[in-house]
Amino acid sequence: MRPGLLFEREHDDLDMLAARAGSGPAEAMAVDLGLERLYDAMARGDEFLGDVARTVVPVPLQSIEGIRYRQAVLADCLANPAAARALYQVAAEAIDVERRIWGAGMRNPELVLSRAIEVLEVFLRALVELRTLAARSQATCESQGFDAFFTQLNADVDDEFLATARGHLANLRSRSIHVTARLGPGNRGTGYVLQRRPESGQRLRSRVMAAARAGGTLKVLLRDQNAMNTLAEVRALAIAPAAGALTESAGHILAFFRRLRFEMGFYVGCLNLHESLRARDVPLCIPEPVATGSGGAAFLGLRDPGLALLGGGAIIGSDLNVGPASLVLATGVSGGGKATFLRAVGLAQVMLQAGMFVAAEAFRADLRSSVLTHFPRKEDAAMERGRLDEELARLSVLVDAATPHSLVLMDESFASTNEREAAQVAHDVIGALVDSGVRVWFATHLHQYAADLRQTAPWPVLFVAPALGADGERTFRMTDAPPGPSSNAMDLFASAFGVPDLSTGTQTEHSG
Amino acid sequence: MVGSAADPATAVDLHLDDVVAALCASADRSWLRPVYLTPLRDADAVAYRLEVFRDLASPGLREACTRFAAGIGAAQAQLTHAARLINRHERNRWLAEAAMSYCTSVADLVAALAIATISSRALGGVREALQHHVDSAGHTGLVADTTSVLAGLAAVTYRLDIDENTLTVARDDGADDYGAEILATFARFRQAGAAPLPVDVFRTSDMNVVEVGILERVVRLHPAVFADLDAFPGLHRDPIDPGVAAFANELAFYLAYLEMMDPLVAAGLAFSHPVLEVGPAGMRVDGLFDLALARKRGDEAGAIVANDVAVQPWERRIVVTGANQGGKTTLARALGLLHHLASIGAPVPARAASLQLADSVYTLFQRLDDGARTSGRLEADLGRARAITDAISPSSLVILNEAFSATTVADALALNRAVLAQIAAKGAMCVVVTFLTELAAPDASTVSFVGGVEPGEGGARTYRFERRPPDGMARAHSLVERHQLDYASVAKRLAP
Repeated sequence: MRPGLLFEREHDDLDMLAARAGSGPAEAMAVDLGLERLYDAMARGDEFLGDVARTVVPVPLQSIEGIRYRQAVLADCLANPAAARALYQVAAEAIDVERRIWGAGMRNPELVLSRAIEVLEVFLRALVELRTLAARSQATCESQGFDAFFTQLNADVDDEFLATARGHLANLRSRSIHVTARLGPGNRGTGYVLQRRPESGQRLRSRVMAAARAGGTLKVLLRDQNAMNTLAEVRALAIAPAAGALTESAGHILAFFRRLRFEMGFYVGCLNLHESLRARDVPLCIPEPVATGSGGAAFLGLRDPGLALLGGGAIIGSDLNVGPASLVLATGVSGGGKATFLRAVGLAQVMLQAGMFVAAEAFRADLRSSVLTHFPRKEDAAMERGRLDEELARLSVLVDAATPHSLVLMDESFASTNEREAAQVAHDVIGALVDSGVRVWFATHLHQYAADLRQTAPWPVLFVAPALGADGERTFRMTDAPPGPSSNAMDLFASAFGVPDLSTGTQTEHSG
Repeated sequence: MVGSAADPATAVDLHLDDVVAALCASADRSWLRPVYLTPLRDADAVAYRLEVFRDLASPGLREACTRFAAGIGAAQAQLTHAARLINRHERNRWLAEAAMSYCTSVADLVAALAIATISSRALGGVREALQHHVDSAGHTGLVADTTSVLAGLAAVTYRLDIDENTLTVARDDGADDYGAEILATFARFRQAGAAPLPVDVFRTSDMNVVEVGILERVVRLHPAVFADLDAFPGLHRDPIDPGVAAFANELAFYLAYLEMMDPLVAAGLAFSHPVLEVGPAGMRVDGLFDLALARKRGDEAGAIVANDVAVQPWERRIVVTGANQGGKTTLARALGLLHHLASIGAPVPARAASLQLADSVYTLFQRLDDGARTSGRLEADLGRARAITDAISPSSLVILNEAFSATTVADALALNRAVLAQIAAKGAMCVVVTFLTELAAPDASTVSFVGGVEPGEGGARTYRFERRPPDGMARAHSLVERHQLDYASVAKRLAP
């Protein structure tokens, strides 16, 4: 039995998920996009929820059905958050009690057996609780994920199972042990196989009589401590299979609860994030995934949810339809929000492919095999390397991780060298990426490069720039626009020196 | 014909001592140490061993030999264990098990040898002798008795009912498996990865009194089986044939070496059987790598840079120069190890190699540890240089690594030249690692190898050596190419 709430098919294993989420390029992406702030909001102080988010969110689902599957489960959770949180809680508590019962590394078979019985009793109670929760929610759930899980739960945790399981526990609580054995190395007993307790006193007596004739009974004096210790050794050997069967059984149920806690942990994290963003009036929508290659992102009112979580006033959303463009080039005034815009785009893609909601009024995008980022790093990685060297080293790692269907977001790449060299490098790298099928978003000051592309690019390029308000002020909203002739360097010069701006004729404030 | 064991200081400098220590790591292989350290003096002796290595290149035969050696080892361990046991049933069972391990090992090897393609003189002889042995009446009797007594014991089962302080041994009358039933009940929750909690079951090394008590009652249940077991030691007190045991021991020389090669071959490094010439000869080595370094790299051994070295018979001096930390010493070590390993009849760490059979390899390495006593050290180094030049022949290899560098450059140059002249007079081949590019001055008997440096900032080392006049200057190239970010490289890296 598996919860199956994250993946419709069974073969996705969590270790693999964690490995992919923890890969170098995935971690760089998480840093660049500020995913940590989202994770914190999802965790809301529960460290485990944070770990779940870190494992699930950055690994993109690769099919529309897979995304729809999660979106449906999430919709059920949003419709009934209390029930979702209760499912998580039952699993979390069962796991917690289990850990407390076991205590520190204990290997004595008699103790292991008695603790395993205790653990299984706790688990059976938790399973009954789950069954009750399922019975209450199944009617209102609409997702395939919950429906299948609840149906399975009802079938597997039925009254017959509970009676049989309780019967086993009662049998094993007895002090007498019954096994068969073979002769192993050195003719010492081995291959102990657990046997049922003889059912009646009658049969036991006849067996003992027959045994006395053929083999015999060995009685140890209770007060002979040495002999009792030796008997305990043999007892331990004989109990081991029972202890093994019960701990393995408990292990399966524990693994089930862990899996359930993990899977529900993702949705509880989503609920937490949903509440936090709603409280800040951020519009949230269920995004629409479309097939890879059927066009770039299209959105209304897209925002950077990370920025929203920081607080500090309303954020203005951006509208854009990338259409067939292979390269989106963001140019224009510094401090106009190009980096925030890239982050918003990246986060929306990541959240879409995690099966989550997106911080926008509407969002549609085609599936990408991965989201990769190349953003400036404040820490100057290694003094001896030189900044361009460091930048290129990171870019090389990115290229290693990229496939022809990746989405690559680059913010001010190659700014560590002069414009002519930078343009040459950009021309090479971005040209090769786009020619290979990669979709690239590039926020840059390389105006000559942008102007050249406008003339000579062999593929469609969409140029976007921060929208200016009626009075030429920054709005932190991006809109499509042809590249300007130069950056706003003169702007900044003007604002710094307090002289009128030559290009717009107005005086502007430098905003960071 | 066997020479004397490798010079100890040389073994340290070449890291040969580490390699041999690894080859002899298991306790019963320590006797192989001198075998690995001692060069063979004649080409036929080398060929005799290489033939065996060639036969063992067949995976089936090698696996059979490995299993055989392990099986004989296990049989010996079981005999040793039996000898110190007191309980008769326990002791006799171990004796029978030892006999079984031995018989099975021999039978398996005979079967494997029968279908193997064998061209070595050594294994051909073994095949014949072993066939003789297994056909003998003594051996066939041992097999029959052992099989029958153990089959009887294997069929014995019994039931144990344990209460607080009583323990009843009874016939096993149609058992079920209640543990399996319990597991089946909970199987519906099965998740990948859940396993039973390991329990520690304390067992005394010998039977305790309760176990003896149980066994006595089991004996009562199965008297015929134990009568057979009681008779066994009278028939077969010492089941292992000494000749067979000796063969298993000698196999270890080959198997240990092959085991050492395995991870390196898996990592992509190639070994080969060297072509050897007796007396001064040229050298042609492709894909030479430093075995000691490769072993230290573990999983990353495949990333080690291999080098090609080719010199003519009249070129007796190889001068290696290049940037610091560029792999000069590694190349010199690799050449030293190559010659030593070839001389013990083992596959060498190179894709292909033809070279002279070295009667000895000597090293004179700069010592970094005792900087304080420079004058004493120079004296000691010169003393060692003298001893080396006295000992060598035209078939020897001498490796000088930054020798005499504790003195001034002019002195070091003069001393090196003088020592090299001595070595040249003896006709020995010589590898000189040095920063003194003057030593690579062109003359007919000297060749120069130079370590490569990558273009661009920082000048990453390529660890690749080229035969050309010494330089030392790095060429400039763009960073982009270094990171493989030019258009063609990116497109190629992204190609599906």
